[in-house]
Amino acid sequence: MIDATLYCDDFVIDMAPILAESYRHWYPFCRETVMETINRVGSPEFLECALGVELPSQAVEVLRDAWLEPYRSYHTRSGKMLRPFLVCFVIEALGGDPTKLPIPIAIAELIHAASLILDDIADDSLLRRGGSTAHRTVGLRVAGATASAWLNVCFELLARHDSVLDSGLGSVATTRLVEEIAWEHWVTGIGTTVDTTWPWMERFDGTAEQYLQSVIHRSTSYTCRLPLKIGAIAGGANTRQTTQLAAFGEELGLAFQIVDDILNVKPGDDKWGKAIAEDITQGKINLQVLIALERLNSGRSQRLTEILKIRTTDTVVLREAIQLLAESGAFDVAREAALTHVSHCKELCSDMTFLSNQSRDVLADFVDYVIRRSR
Amino acid sequence: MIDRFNAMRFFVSQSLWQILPAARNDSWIKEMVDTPRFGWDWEALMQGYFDPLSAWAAVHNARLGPVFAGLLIDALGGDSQRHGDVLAALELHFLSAIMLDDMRNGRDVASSTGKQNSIPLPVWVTVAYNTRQLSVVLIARRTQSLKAEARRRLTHQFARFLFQQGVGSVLDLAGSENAKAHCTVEEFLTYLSLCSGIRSYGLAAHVASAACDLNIDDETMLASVANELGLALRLLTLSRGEDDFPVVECMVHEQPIHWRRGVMLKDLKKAAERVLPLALKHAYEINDQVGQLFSEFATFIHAPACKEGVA
Repeated sequence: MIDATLYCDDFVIDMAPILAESYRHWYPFCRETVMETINRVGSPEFLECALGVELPSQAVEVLRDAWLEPYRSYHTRSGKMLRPFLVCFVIEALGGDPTKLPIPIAIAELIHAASLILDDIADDSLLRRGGSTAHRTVGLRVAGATASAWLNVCFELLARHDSVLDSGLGSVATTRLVEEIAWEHWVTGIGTTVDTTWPWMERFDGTAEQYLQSVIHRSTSYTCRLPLKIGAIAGGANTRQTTQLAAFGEELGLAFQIVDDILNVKPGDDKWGKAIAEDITQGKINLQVLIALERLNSGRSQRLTEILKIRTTDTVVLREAIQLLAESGAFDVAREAALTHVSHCKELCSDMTFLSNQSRDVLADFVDYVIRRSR
Repeated sequence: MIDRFNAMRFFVSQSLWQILPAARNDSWIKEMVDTPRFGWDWEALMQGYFDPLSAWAAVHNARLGPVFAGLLIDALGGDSQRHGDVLAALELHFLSAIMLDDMRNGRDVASSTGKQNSIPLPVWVTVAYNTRQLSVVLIARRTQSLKAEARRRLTHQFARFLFQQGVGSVLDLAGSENAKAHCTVEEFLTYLSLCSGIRSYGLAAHVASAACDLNIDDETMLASVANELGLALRLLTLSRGEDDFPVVECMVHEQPIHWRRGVMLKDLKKAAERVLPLALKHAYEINDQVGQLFSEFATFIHAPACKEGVA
């Protein structure tokens, strides 16, 4: 049974009615599917089959406490389940029945949550979804290995064909999914390389184009492109249709990340769930920072650079940095850039003639939601 | 064996250097990532990924896993020289594994790569992450020497291995911190069998199986026997009270095992003496060439007599 208190979907207010209706329809199924999959993966039976050994009881306890529960807690706190929703939506839009494809649906969220643990480690974040981060709970080493296992459990799930965890996919679709997920995992790391190297090397001379290139192969992947690909492949889309949906996901992911960067320093409400302006504390050099550095006069630009270098958590200094970003007009320019990608999304959406008009409307509304969302 | 080992090691190294870009390489990115829409910051890619990886690969150059895989391909009647990309992908997997081990175990990762002495943890974590995921994509995209079905199976095998490796690491690290009781020798053997260092022999066997296009049953058998060999060799090292060991002029870094409270070195030696002959017997049951390779490899790696002591 799912705890009814977990259904806190007040953010749906940012969604258009037709999208909200579809989202509300699939949300309980998504949550149940994800939680059931996690519980099954965490069972001794699944682990023993995957690892090929009989686990001593002490090992089962250790894995439950250090591997299963810290990860599970990321899902029980909150979580919008946007990625599994996208998978459900695409499968249904292609004429399939999402309820018969629980594994592909769960995979989208399992990967996302594992990536959150890795992000939290990289940024040494204290909070995630309003609770303590995994590495702050079980230590950095265990959390890293935990995230790695959950990130790649999709391959184990896709290899299973038993009665309980059969993915519902044929061998061709399974192979396509394995290769696409493996590729997305890899390119996400390449994009992250730029994200981690710029602050380390104090590379304030990066360009907006270079930043966007890194975003295409970082957050864009797990946020939008991969769920849409999973939905397309699981729903039986052909290669061209999958490519179209992936291209749409890439544009949407770009818009999503630009908005996310803005929300990181300027959350739209009090339910952001993360420390405010964490990106500034981490010295992140994102689009709005690059724009501000270009637009501010040399003294103010220098000051913003200094703040980014000192990795401060001092709220007064963080507010000063946010003020500098605002003064420069960087938020507005970045939001304009996001709107350009939104416009591309809409064009790509209208080209997807293999979807019904209603499905295209929902996708278009989802794009608007990404821009309008307050958290 | 030393000549064969060194020749294969040289071949694997050459294959590895051919796979990794030494400088900006747009065609590499196009093949392994895609055609960039906006343009990469190559300076950052080199500083934050390719340079640290190359420096790491130059220092950690034992190439034990792919050498074993290459020799196994030849023992199975295949031609290892046709499979340089596959062996290089396997080596990338090992390189990332020991990178992660070093980070988990607090060794001075940065200084062990010479010039790269100031790389912060998030960058190193990303290097390790990228390298292991790259190994899977290389198998999927760049191993035309494999038949399509063999490539498909090996890609999936590499990817699944990452899950198994993660769980094994959690078990070891958290088990050592939270275990409520001492473990028995048999339980220890189970924990040990889950560690990446041992299962790497199995992964090498999967590589050789793919290269030689073995059927699933033969592949499963070979991987199982290779894991037995890995377990036996690791037990021998541990029974000497060591984690790392020298091969030719290199040190082979093994994943330190944390969870072994109450297990005595003499017990490990006894276990090794039980497991190794079994592994060799099973290898000879596959065929004489495989049996001979396992036997020579075991002798070459772990000839020194075991010392007794307390863990």
